[in-house]
Amino acid sequence: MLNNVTLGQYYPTNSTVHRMDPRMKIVLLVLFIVAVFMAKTLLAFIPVVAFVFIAAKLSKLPPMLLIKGLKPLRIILIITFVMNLFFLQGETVLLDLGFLTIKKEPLFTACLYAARLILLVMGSSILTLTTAPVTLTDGLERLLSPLRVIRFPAHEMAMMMTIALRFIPTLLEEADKIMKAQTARGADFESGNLIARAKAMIPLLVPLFVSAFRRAGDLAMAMEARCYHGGEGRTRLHVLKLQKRDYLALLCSCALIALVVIVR
Amino acid sequence: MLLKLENIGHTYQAGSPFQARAIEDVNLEIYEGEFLALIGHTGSGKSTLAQHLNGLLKPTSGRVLLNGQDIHEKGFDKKEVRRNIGLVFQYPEHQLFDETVEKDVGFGPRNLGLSAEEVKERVQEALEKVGMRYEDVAQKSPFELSGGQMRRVALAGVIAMRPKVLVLDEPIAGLDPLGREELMGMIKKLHEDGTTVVMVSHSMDDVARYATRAAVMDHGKLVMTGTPEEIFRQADRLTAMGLDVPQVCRLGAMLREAGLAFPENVYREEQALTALMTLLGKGAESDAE
Repeated sequence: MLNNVTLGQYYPTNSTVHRMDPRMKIVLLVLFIVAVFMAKTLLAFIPVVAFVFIAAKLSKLPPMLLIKGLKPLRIILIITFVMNLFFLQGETVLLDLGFLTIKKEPLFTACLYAARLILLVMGSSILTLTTAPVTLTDGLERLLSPLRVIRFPAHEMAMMMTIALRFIPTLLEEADKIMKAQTARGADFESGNLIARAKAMIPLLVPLFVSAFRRAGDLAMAMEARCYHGGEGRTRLHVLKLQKRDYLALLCSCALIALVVIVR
Repeated sequence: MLLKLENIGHTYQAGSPFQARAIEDVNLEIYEGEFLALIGHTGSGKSTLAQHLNGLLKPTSGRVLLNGQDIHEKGFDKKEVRRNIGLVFQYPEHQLFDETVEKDVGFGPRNLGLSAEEVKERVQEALEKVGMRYEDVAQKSPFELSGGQMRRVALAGVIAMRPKVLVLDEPIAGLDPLGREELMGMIKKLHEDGTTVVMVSHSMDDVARYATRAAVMDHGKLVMTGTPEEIFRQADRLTAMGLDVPQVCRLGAMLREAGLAFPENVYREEQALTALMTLLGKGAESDAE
């Protein structure tokens, strides 16, 4: 019943982008976002778009996948576009239909914001599509670890994220099983009004919580049995090391920022 | 016959890159009053097949007929299927949720739209059938019971719907020897009282002891059906599929290898006892109770 839920977006193609250091990919995304927000002219957008295009090309992802990723965005896109178009002040009238006028400046701003949104989503999609969730949290942990000096629990955060990600499919499977078991006892999850449906969830949620707590307890025990005691002094199985391609990518994105700064 | 599976096939997540064919082209009839054992190694499709019996899974091909009617046909009342065919999942105690045992066992009957008195009557009857005293457990929380007791309460939750066919998916998994013995005794009693039983099992001893018929699944296909005797006679075929034979069969084979004239078609413990007594020259009738 729940088996059509796909989790995470990771799409393995083993491209250069996939093999890049997750830390570098996160840094690149941040630089890219900065570039997107600094770009204010058509000219400045050229290097930004080129950057996304090259990254997408290098990642060997099916283009349809990236375009599909924009689908949930369409409503926000349309709303911001229309709002910007009609509610911003402008001087040069492009089109006058009497009841509505389209002016040059708002049209430009509307397009600018829409383009920014699309680019932002595409950029972050490339990151999540090319990086497995666990690798991503690993990278995030390493990037945030300097914050330990101000007592930011980077390792614990990353561990929690990893465990949460790990257990989502397990819990989904469990939910599916319990749902079937209750359906076999005549439970109805699909009809009735909102209150009836919420009530119908109780026979699903209670066993699900019970099992989640049991699993959490078991996992904690298993981790302690293997001497887990937090991030202090912990070494890694996969040591992240920056490669030539990572530095090259960094160079490219610095060049991108520089270009945008010059022409914006 | 009660239930009939016609050329049933099921593919999980069909059309996606993760699609997996669980069962294909299964033809199986379930007759009133029988005790059918479903055997097969892990991943052979037994559980998937069991979930087709009460319409939880819709076959991707083929039909499921209850009293001759297709249960997935438009307009067929699914409640009718649930009323007639009770399904007990693996580790059914994981589905307990209500505050008291009484309410939990009564969940199924309430869903059938029965009156409060009728529900109570059924709860009492179901608890009794699984060997629990209503007065002792009815007001307890199911979560304060022991594992074995929780399993029984969960079983009672299905029995309370008074199904004609009881489908059990590995009912004794994870129980201790005593718990297994007790639970199998209850299932046997239910069968004797007229319930048709379909049981997915890994225990060949239980199959030999309780089943009137057995069906063997291998890689999603139904490869053998017949009485336990007929099935266990083909020990080589079972072994090739990664399955086992009852312990007495193995004992018999060892005895024959050692040169004793132990008969071949012995599958149950009491048969083995009789055969051994005969071998030892004592009167079988007087010693085998």
